[in-house]
Amino acid sequence: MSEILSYSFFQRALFAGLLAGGLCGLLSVYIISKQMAFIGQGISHAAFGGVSLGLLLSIDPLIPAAFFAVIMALGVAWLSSSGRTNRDTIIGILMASSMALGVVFLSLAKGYKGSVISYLFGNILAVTNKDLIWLTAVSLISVIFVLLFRKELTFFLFDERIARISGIPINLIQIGLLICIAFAVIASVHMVGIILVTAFLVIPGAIGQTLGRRLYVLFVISLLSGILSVIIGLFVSYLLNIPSGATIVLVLTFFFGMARIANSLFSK
Amino acid sequence: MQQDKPIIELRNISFLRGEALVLDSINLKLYPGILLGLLGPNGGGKTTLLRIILGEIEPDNGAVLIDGVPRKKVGHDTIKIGYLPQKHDFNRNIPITVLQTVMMGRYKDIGLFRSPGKKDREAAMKAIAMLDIEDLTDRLVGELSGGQTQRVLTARALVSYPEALLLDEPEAGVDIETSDRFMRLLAQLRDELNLGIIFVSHDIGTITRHADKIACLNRSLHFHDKPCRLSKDDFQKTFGKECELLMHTIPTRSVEGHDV
Repeated sequence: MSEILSYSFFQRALFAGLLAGGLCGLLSVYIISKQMAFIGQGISHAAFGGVSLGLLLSIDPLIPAAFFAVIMALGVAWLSSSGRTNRDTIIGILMASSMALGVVFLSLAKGYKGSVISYLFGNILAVTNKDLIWLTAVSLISVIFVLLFRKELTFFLFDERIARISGIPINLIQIGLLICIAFAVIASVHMVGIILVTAFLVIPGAIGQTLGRRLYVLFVISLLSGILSVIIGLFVSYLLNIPSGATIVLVLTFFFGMARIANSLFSK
Repeated sequence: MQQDKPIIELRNISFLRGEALVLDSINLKLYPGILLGLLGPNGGGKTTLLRIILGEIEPDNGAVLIDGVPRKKVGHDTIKIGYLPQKHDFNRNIPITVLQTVMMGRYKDIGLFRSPGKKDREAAMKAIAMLDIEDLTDRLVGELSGGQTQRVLTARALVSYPEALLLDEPEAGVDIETSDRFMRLLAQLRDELNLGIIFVSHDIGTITRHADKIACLNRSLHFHDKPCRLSKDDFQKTFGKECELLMHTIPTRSVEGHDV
């Protein structure tokens, strides 16, 4: 068991996982509290368009994927700000369009397209040092944003209308949060893949919400759920020789089930 | 009691929703130390008028002046208006305490990138004490009753030391007894803080018992001085010809007399 820790690919995977798990765990609280689960799915699927473009242009797919994810985040914020179209409708439209673009790009790409599978379902062995630097940078940016605007974010979560009336820059807060979510999606793509990343952004916060009776407790539980799921998921996937991303998501689902059971036992 | 300079002044405000005229040439002045009751039927434009004062929507015509300065020029930083919304539709999914909720009223004053300090905590505790909810300080706001929530959100509206307070149907969702106690508390706050208060209601009993001045709004605005003498004609102009004055809203209690 300990020999696995000596492999550099596993060390990279663990480090990347801890960063992605922590970042998603942190943002998951906002996603769950604001009932924005669909945005995670929308942004991750938008990233598919970017990954395909990267394969078509033979460049690092994460760069166009990040671009697509951020454009999706900004597009949702901008188009939904007028209130004329429901946010979920906009997400649905942009997500489908981006997926469609992805399919077109893939059909145009020549040569081997098998690597797209690693982005769809995650491949922890594919994490490179360059990915780690990128992941560290976006994690830092997101954490700094959350720390700097923590009280405005809390007001935004709790009572968006009154926060806006009282002069809190809600549009800035919302755009910043959506960009952080876009970063988290890109950071997690190598871990759990585009298809399962929504779970990574939703389940930690749902666990926190089930158990947390105070806001800071909710954050701690969500953060720990994200990090622990990665550690346990990676070891279990190695021991059982099963896909790491899916294992991490299943560990999170197990945590959530336990949280619900604990909640129903102790709340009686 | 009335001073020369109004806190809020509406000059010839009109508002259209599509083709429909919702507000027609509204003129209103709110002075410090005055509790103005705004009476009117559902759809009469009461909430729209508050939203215009708060800067949420722009009128099609007219001007809103805060302390004599057009609202657009004042900006959020210096506008001192507290607001209690009609629906308590905050997010109950996040575990926020009463103290944290009240503190949110100070976030704009604290400014970006800074944490609440001792002064802010003291202000929050003072507002909590004013609303007589010290025993709720550490409770989760999502678990409170309608009346308790109303007090917490009023404390949040008061914590940044506003000059005016706008309340949209504060009696909605609470029982008559709680509503009556809350209105007496508002009158006390008006006197202690010299607040100008506008409270919107469609409950004629609440309005006539507690307001210093009464205005009836159904697209256009008509003022009635206290002691309130709303005639049947006034009442029908506001609520429609089919309305009849029948009975008091508090049949089991003896309340201060009025003419309605």
